[in-house]
Amino acid sequence: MHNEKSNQFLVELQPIGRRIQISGNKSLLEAAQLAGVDITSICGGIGICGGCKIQLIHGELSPYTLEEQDTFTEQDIQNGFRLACQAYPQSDVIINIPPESLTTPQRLQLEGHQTEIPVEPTIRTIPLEIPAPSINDLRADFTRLKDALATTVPALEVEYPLLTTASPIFRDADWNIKAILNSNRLISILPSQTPTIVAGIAVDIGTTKVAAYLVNLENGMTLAQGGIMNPQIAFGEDVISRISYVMSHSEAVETNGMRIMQERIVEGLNKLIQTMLDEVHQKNPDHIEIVDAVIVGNTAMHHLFAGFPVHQLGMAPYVPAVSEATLIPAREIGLQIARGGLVFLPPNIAGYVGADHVAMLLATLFQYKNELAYSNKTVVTLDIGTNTEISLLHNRQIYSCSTASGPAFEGAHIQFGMRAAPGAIERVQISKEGKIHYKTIADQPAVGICGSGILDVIAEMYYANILDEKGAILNHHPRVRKPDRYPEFVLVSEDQTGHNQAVVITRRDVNEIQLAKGAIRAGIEILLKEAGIQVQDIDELIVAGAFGTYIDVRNAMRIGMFPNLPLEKVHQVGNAAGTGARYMLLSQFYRDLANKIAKEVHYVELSNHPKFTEEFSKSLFFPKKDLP
Amino acid sequence: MSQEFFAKLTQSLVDGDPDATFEYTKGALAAGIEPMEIIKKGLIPGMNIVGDKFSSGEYFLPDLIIAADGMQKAMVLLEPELLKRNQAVESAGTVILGTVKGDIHEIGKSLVGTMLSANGFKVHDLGVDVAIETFIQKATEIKPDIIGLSALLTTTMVNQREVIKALANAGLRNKIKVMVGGAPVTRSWAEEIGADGYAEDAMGAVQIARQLVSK
Repeated sequence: MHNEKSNQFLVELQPIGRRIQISGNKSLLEAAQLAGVDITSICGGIGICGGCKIQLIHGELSPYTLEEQDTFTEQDIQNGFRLACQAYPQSDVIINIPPESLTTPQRLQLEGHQTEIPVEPTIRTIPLEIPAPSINDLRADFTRLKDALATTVPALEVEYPLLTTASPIFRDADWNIKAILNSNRLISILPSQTPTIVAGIAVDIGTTKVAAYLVNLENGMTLAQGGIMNPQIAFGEDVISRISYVMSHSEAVETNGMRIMQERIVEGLNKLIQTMLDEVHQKNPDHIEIVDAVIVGNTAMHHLFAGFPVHQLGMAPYVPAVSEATLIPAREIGLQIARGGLVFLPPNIAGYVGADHVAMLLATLFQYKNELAYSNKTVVTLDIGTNTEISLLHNRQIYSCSTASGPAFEGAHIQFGMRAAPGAIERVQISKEGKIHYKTIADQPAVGICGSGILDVIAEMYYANILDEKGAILNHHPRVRKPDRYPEFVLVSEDQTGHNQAVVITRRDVNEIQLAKGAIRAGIEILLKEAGIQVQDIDELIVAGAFGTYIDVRNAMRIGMFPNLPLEKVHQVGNAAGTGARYMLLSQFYRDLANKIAKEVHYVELSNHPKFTEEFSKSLFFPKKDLP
Repeated sequence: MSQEFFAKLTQSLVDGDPDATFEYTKGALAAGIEPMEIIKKGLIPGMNIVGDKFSSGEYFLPDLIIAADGMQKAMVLLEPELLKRNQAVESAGTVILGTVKGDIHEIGKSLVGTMLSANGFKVHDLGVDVAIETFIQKATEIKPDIIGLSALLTTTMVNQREVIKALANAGLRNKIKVMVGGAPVTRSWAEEIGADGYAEDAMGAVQIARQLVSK
């Protein structure tokens, strides 16, 4: 289709001002990605989501494709609007990226449910006074270290990178050092007299957001925490788009999708580590040595970080390449922690129930060195995202599944949907008199609506009789208008918003939420069936994750996403996966427990479950209005 | 009198009231109306209105599911009556349907099946995660007019191309029309892989299927 392979063109990306030289067989989306400019690409570059809309300012591009003709109006075309994934340069070009096509700064959710656990990390610190060399003692530097450690660590393992750097440290420290070990493996050597904090990092790599904690391994305190958007977002917003990107970029080394994905996330983590270190150093000048890392994520994020193949995750039966817990030398993947440092990746349960869910189970279902914390209770615990992982604890058995709830709660596929950023409507109430109250993030004029707001508005519309149980918008309400053939609900009128367009809710938006909440509820129902119990048997419902923390649980019940339960049975615990990752950093016990859980969980595959379609179809509808 | 029944049946499907569809069907049979008439003049028009409303963006998945449920409830009553009379719904054509290998999405494909059946097509639904060989075997066996291939993932849509290739290798390609669909599937993808038809939704699939059998 595009044969100008040998031709190189200069692409200038405005308003950022980045320039990049690419060949004519690369799309503008690829150009932006290579330039490190994050353009929204929900569909992964196949021309159907309209997320990567850009405007041609100067130069020649390939002809409009059928997808673009379907996307744009005559006027858009006259104004030079294109889809970056469909347009290829045919000369040097200047393009403008409108703000809505850029993945913008977001509010990141970090706080996790804090529980005190004893500090007994995998890492050991051994202080040593090593005899200095003399004319009567000509042993090599490392032989001295080995001999000094002989009684505690008989079979010391030292890897090459430490051999290259240790000798000057021995001498600068006057042979008074601290050896940091992970069982027999030497991780780092530190001078004893230099004030040093021995620390570790716990990271939760989400498909959208990455949360990290810098933790003092001597006292268990969290020194700093930070968050970034997952930089892989430029290659597709969801797991499948990213897998598909890797599959279609598998040959040439410089454009190898797997390598790029891994590099981007590691690069992002290195920056995040540096930011956290800088933050601590503003108050405390002590050297911080990061000697350990625990990284959790869903199975795809886990694989893309570790460099494990992902093709098989993109197709049924969706098996992980690796499910066992894995230790990776940090330097192999370029993660900037101590030279001998190892990254611990907990086990995955299945292709769509990953190490992050294992971490979440650790943080929510177990008490330290106890048996199951809720051993006599029946607990449903879930983390809502594009894929929602759900577990049910009953009779000391854990049943887990993953359900495709889609990106609607992250604002995707919703006409005025957006992520949790300033100007996003996050709370909505419709009073008995029909008056609409809403609150935006940072109290900015409304520009769109984020996940918790969408959930609220749908529940409130249903209870205000603006929606029927099928999800149709009823015409009788004064805020319902019919601009063309179909009714829409005006949540915020033109004169009140930040962009002079009314923020409206359409039937299509309602339908997206029905699909999402139907998938979640069907997952819960199937697990209850597997355990042979009913909704009434649930003692606790634990809602983890960013979105789950902000939602109004009552509204989630009103639309049937959650079963009706007394509110005191519901707990919103924040980033439980991050908390579980911290536990594994601070205690070997939790690493062992993670392995045990992953083996013992009864994984329930929903996609071919005989009852799934029926439960899902039932759960699409709104339930009876029996909540206050 | 029968006109009134037909109108009510049609409306009950459009309103998404399966219990009413069931009751009116029962009433119509009791009133001595022929089962084939009930299907052709009461139910099919209703399903077509629902399908059109779906295509135009007025109706959504819950509306289709509930209408299909009504249709199914009615057919439970009508099928034994048709059998008694040794009648079968006139076939508009034969279609093999399936979601391609590696993909387990069912609902969209099944809705296409429901709409095709409601419009008189004889549908053989092979289910989800269907191996290429299974499509070929079934095609060889029943010689359908059309094969419909569904794919919901960008990672699995490539298998639509593989089925088309396999049909060519088996010497069946010029005897059978192929239509493709699914969320990531586009017109230009359909053209690229050499499919004969593409539709965005279940009602569109019926129109394409009609065009393809009349060619």
